[in-house]
Amino acid sequence: MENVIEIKNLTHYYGEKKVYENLNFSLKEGRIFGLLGKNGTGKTTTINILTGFLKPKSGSCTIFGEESYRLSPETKSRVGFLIEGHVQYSFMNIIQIEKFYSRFYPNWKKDIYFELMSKLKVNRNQKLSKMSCGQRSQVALGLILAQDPDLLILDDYSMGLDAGYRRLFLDYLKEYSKTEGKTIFVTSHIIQDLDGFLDDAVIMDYNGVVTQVSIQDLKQSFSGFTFKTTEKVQLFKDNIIVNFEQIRNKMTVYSFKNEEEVKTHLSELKVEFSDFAKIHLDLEDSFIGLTGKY
Amino acid sequence: MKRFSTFSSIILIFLITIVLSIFLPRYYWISFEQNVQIPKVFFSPITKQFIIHKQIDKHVVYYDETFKRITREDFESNTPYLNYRQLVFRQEMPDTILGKPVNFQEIKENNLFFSIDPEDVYFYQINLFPLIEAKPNGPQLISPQEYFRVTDKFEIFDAQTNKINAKMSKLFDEELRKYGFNFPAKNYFGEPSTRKPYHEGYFLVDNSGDIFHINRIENKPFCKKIEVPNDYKIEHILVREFPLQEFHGIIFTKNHKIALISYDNYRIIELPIKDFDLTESKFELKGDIFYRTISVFNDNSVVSYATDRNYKLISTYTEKWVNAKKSDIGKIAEYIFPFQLSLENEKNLFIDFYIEFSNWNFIFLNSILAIAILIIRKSQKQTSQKLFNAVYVLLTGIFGFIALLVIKDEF
Amino acid sequence: MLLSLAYKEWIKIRWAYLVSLAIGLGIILSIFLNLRLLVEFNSLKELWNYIIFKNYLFYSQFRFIPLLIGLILGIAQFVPEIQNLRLKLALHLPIEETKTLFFMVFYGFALLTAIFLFFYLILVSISSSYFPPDITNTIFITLLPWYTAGYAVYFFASVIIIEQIWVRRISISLFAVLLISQFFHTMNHNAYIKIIIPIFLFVILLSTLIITSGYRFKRGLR
Repeated sequence: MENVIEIKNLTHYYGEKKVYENLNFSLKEGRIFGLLGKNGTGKTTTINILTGFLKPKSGSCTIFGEESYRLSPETKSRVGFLIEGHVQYSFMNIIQIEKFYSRFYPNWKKDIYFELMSKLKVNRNQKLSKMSCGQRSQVALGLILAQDPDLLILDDYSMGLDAGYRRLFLDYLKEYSKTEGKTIFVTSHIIQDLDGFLDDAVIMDYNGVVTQVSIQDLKQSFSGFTFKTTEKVQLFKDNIIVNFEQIRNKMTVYSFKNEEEVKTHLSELKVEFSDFAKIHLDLEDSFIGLTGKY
Repeated sequence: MKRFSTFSSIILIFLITIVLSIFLPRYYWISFEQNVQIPKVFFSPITKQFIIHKQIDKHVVYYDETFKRITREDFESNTPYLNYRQLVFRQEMPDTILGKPVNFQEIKENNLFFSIDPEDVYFYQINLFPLIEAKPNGPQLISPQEYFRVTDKFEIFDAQTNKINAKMSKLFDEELRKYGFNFPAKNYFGEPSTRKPYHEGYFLVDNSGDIFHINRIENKPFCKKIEVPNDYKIEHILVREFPLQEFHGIIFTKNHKIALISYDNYRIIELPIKDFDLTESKFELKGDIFYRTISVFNDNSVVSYATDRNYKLISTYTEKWVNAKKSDIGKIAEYIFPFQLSLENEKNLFIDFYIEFSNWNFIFLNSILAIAILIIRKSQKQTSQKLFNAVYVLLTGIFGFIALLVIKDEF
Repeated sequence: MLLSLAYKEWIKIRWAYLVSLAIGLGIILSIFLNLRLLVEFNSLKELWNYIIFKNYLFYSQFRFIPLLIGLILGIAQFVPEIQNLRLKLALHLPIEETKTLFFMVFYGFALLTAIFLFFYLILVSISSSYFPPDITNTIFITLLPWYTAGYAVYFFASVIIIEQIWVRRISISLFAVLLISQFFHTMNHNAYIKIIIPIFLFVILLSTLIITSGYRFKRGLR
């Protein structure tokens, strides 16, 4: 399978301020990716570069083999882009906006759009600007799905949506992703929702530290362990302890290693421990485990 | 997209350069320009000398042609025809002047004043003129409802109906053709006002450059071809009706001659003035019972000619001054601005690109600024851009320099 | 596809366009009523005289209308594009980005030309019912600087609105104001006759300025 998105040695600065240096990751066709990261880790920068609205200082970002800020019209028609906040032409109504977009895309799937619209309780002449945020998100989604792109880039689809609409949004996306060869790239600040949705995650941390893992691997190999220890014990991150957290004498340690290896490692470090237990991690826990709470 | 963007960046830079070349010099002059007072020159029938007055430091000073200061009273006494009211008030008006008994009515009638500025001539004129009846049924001229134009035929519009008065048009058209008028008219000269003692009609220049005098007298056309020397190509004719009825008008030719069309059967009287360019200079003719004073105002000088009533030269007077351009302020401007652009000009009412190039003095500043832009923009690596910046600033100086500071686009 | 773009532009600006049309027609109506009154209370021949020799422009009220319309249209067309950085949508359409941007300004230019031409024809028809062709013929060149100002302000609006850096917005606005002031030097008939055609052509070139702003937008200068 070819790489749909390929980011190589991507470096960006805002003036003197470094966002990241030598960022590398790539996305394979047909999978659902989540770009996860806390605010300020360069998520928005990456999305901007990816969608061609920011020229990186150096390095390259390609989509279907083309430089992302110089996509040809043909490639652009293969990429569906949901702007943060579901921004659309809010001066149009449901009918107008469909009429507008349909002429641009040869494989326009009118039915998908109107199916989605029929579920919204809105008047067809109602302008998008007069709709609720949730309704607008459905219009934006309907338009992207009707476009039938090979790659979908969804910048914070969950913004301003309540649980119902978030679920609806993902349900439709899931349905769509079952079609052959569709790749989805999504960012969200509500990571819980993405559990069971994503295939892979790219997790960004401060200073451009990036972990790319498949969710399957993450679930299988990334674990948290709790144990009791003395208050004055000092732990450091190393190649076994990815992250740790200490609340008085209660310690939580995150690691890609199994229980035995972690225990051995702790012993080597001469850390006393008791009540050692493995904890179940969902996606959000893993994310926090990897990047910390701060 | 980059290619187009470069193109439009250059347009933006060019645009800012143009705007600055208008506004920077304008504000420079507004800030520093000093008023230059222009002398008023008279010829005294008493002393047979020129006497002059002008403002110096907000005060009017009077002096004779040797620059000797005189008092205002002396000035007035020496120009008794001009200032007869003042002299009467002071009870100093003589009974006779140069042996001629004083008659106020005669003085008034003989006091002439004509002046013409390039601005009075060079503007867009809609060539439609009121066909004023020269012999109205009453003491005053009446503003007519007929307006004429001379295109491929003589046409008279009726201003009440906005339609062509075919009958009257035909009458005038035929008359002009009879006199060999070559249609259309190239120029129209006349005084289209009714606030004047009488109406002389219009002087038209036909397509072959001949002058025709036309008028409407008792609703009938009057036409007369006027013979002028062969080398007269008409630039302008100043037509003024005045009670003295000495001449119909003043001809200004393209080869810079000035002549009067006298009432003596249109005899041409050439004035003893050399090289008068109406596009550049102001002309003034003053007269009294004995003399004529003709003054030509250039940017930095006035030349006055005193003649007798037959326009025979008696004496001339020249006074020069330093005009704004040649003043220190103007010289400094030449060091700052490589050129100065204006869309307006005091010498005509057309909007145009009036561009004044400086003498090479600006090259110092331009060179410094060209080097400065290379230093300021040293982060721009492209040689083509460096070359553009340097050459552009070298050519456009401070204007281009500021434009490049504002638009930092790389291309 | 361009037809579809035109459709979007129309939905965006149709109200502004109708308002512009109403403003223009309102002013022209007022010009007409004024003229009627002048003719009624004076005589037409005096009015002719006034126009020919005193540079009276019976339509001088119209002077700043094209400027206003250019501004209204520019704002109506480009402000929605930069709210929420919505321009991203247009630039993501499967068309060459320069083509999209050029089409937007071309569309505005065409609508401006249509409305300007319409107003011109009304003024000409009013004029020709009162005045001879020699007077009516001067309307075109006398109006053209005002129309050119309208086009210029429209093109500048596109550049300034799409530009995202405030310093640059302000400096371009300043030069735009200075340039546009040059179209209102005098109210003499045909005063601009010597240079208005080259100036007009130069102003048409300003339609390309949107590309710099679009290019900067694409490069992420925000």
